[in-house]
Amino acid sequence: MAQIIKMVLIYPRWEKLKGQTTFNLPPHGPVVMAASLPEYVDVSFTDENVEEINFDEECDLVSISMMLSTQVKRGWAIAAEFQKRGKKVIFGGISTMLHAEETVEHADSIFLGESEGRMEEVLTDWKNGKLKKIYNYMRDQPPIESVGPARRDLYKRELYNHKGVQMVDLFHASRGCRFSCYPCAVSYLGGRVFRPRPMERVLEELATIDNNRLFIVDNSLAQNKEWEMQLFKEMIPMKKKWISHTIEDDPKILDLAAQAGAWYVYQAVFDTSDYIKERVKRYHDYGIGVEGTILLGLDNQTEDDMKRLIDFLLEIDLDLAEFTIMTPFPHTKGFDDFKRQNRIFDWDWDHYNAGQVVFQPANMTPDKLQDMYDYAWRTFYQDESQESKMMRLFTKVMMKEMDDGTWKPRDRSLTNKSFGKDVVRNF
Amino acid sequence: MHVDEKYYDEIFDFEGEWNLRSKCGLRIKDYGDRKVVIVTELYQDNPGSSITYGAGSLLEQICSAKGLDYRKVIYLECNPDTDSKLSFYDEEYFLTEFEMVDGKLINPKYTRLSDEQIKEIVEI
Repeated sequence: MAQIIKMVLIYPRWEKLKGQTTFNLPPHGPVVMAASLPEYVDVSFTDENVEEINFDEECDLVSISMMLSTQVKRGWAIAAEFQKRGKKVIFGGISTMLHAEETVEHADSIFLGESEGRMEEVLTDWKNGKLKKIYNYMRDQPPIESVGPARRDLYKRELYNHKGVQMVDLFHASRGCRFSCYPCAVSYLGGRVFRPRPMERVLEELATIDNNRLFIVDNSLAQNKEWEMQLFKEMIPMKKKWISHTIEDDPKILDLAAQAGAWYVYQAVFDTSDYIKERVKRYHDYGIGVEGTILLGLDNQTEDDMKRLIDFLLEIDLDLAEFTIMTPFPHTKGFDDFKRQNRIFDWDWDHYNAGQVVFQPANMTPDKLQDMYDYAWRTFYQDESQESKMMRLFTKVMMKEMDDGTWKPRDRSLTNKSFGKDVVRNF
Repeated sequence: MHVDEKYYDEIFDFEGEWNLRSKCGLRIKDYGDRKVVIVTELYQDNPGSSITYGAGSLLEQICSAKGLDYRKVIYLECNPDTDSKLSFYDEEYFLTEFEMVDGKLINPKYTRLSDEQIKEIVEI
């Protein structure tokens, strides 16, 4: 029998955006990676966003999983603490891939690419004292069939609970993306070929999730109509309720999505066209809510354009809106363009939170863009707060659950807790 | 978002960052002692690194494959017009110049070219 290896898996914290309702969702990347570890690895997971790291926890090896650019500097600092204690630290995850050249300077090893079928090699090297500085599987993706159910048993569930309400579980049904969206690095990270997981594997994983509410985190479900329709058909009997990115704009598919439990979708709103207005209406016609995602600071936007866009959002009856500032994340077209134009003035990755201006906008000063971002949040939520709008969406999902008998009351033992901390009530 | 073939004469396969298999459009204009190399971003038909991330390494790979001397090359990066309604997918050309340090072309400097400047360099 192989010797048990004790691995500590860390997800670094990041600074949340001020003024916005903070929710801590159970992170997906670390538990997907953990599922690819051999059985002889005893892994414990710490999400620093909801709990403190015990740097003195007994372990053989430390792994740090990072998703956001705003996690990388904290990840490097965490690595230094463990390295001081003589531990080897290996980094992986999306932002390790985006910031690989810098991260390798802080790591004993970095893993680039997808981990399924690869971790045995890494651990054998470590056991033999031959851990490589870089494991580069960027061009060698594992068979999509090998992606198994994520290790959600590693979550400390009570830490992802707000006043007794369990947060959604994250789930993925595919990898890769055939689109080339301006601010997005997904095609670099997961490849430009859409790789759906076999349906039986998707259903197998869905069945293991003890949560009726999900966030399907695939970049876009609108990549292959046949697959999308099959996915929704198969999901109908499961009665899950879910959030996702864009769904194909097709009445048949929207109908199936609604039957399969579509709760609300994230829909990018770039302009004030009738197409967007009708798109949002079509979602609503099928009982699917819409959270608009609005990117501010694009080169074609003036201050007036932004104001018109915000007025438009109020007219089209979006359920929620999320405003972000254009941010040139590495390996995006935005990064290439701004770099060539010498417009990036802030290289502090902690500021790459999509709420802070790090580049010179085309049609206004950075300060003005920052003001417009604040204006957008303030204006959209001036008549009804974000929390209140969220509550309305939440009520909708509860009603759907009551209709199909899947509703569960909140956990009364946690009504005075929010993400593991005591709730302070101001009467 | 396919890129019109008018932008290139061939698809050039190159090794991008972290050895990623990557592709770009390539056109080489031969003016005797002066060669103009135009690399075009292929967006969804490029499975790996962008031409801008390819940078000096891409030029080195082109010179090696085509027997060119980088010192005699005028190197242009092209963002092709993709007929997108989003203005940041419009056509743009950048003159890209590198420094040779320890046998590597690094530190790219970019100059966006006007239509007139492009015509001065090459008749596309």
